[in-house]
Amino acid sequence: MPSTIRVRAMASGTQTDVQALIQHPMDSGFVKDSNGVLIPPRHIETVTFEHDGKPVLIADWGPAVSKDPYIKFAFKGGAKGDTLTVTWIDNQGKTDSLEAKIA
Amino acid sequence: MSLRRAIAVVLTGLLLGGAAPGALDTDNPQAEQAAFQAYFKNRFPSLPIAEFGNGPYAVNADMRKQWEEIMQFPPYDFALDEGKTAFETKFADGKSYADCFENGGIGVRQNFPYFDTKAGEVVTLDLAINRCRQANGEKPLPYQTGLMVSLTAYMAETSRGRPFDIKIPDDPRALAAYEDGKRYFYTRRGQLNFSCASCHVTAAGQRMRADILAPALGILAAFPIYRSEWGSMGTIDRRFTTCSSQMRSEPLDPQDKSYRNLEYFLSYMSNGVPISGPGTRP
Amino acid sequence: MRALGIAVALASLAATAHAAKQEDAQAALADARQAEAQAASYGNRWLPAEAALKAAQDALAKQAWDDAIAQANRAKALAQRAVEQSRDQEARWRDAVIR
Repeated sequence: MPSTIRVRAMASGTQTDVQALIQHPMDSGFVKDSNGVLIPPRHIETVTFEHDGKPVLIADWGPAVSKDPYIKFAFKGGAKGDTLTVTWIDNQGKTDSLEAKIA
Repeated sequence: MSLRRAIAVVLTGLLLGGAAPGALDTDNPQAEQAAFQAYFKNRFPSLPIAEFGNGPYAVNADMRKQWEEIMQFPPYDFALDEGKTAFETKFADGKSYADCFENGGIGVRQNFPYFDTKAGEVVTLDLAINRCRQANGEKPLPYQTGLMVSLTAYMAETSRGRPFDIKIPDDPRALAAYEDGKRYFYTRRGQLNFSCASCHVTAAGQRMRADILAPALGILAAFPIYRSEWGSMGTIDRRFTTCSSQMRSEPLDPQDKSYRNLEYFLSYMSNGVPISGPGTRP
Repeated sequence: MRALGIAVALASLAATAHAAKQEDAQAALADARQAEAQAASYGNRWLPAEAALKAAQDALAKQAWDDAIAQANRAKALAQRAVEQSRDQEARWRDAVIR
């Protein structure tokens, strides 16, 4: 099962620039399908970015974020070769995680 | 006017080259292609031919900046992965897509659509994929979304940068298909009374509500596309059918003869524009 | 007795009027369908014409004769415009070709 997470992390001076694209339907629970039936809510609640085991960004998303969310941020520290871990968990309890190396 | 005089007038008119309705307007698509490309080069003099495959991003700096940001992580990436995996998976009978295409289907997208002289019709990439599936005992795929998009996305990616190379063989049926596509492109339809040309020729580069209209030259080069408006991927058929609806005209069925002929005409007009697909659009 | 006679006369008048309206509605719908078929033969069905035609059919099914007639007439008018458009465009689309 291929990962739903794509991440690119670049060490840049004293900080690390991170971009991530996550594959997720982000269904709000308010949308009806073509038969008029409500599509049940299924959206990421929390996504966590950890550098060497310590969280550098925790985001609370929820139904307002669109399908296949993209996030871009920078954090102080981080060096080439370090490990960056991305984890998301959604309202149905499903989850995925990916470890990436900072470039 | 006496009957004799009336006949004389009509005959003179025909002799002077008045085209009978439905007659071929030209047997020179090459000249029309040159005129088409010259028109757009004139309208957008700073654009090299390669840029025409980027649609609105070629003609609007603000949109281009946003596009370049998005392209750091292309939203079609997931479809591309799915397409590559599906393309490389064997059918139940042991064959695969590679067996149906020249060069194993790699780097061939720029040759589609082509005119199949045996079958006497235009064959698009999407149609070829389904014919391949059916020839190998698989069910055909729906044309607008889903696996069809992912497969065409992968095949387009293998052709990225290769210029459109559409041929019109020396066959009256091929010319007729080209003419039909040309007719469809320039004919006004629907309650809004627009033709494809109304927006993509006359108003190319201008705004229609919040959108920037892409020039018709190279307009198919980026397909299949991830369209932000759809929040998902779509094929050329998806765009053709929704465009028809937007003009309040009943859309044709996907891969309808006229849609295929339209694709044939538009692609031929865009010979020389490099494939920029899969792509993203607003 | 006379009142009963008048009541019966009025009732049958109403029934006749009712039947006439129904016939009018069905005729209007038939006309609209024919116009729409003509537009379809040009491959130029307008979405609002189809919507009006459907509304006319629904109204007819609910016995809302006036509604049905109005919608059918609207559908017919739109379909006729579509036919005009197709005929006009058959002759004139070539004027738009980039040469």
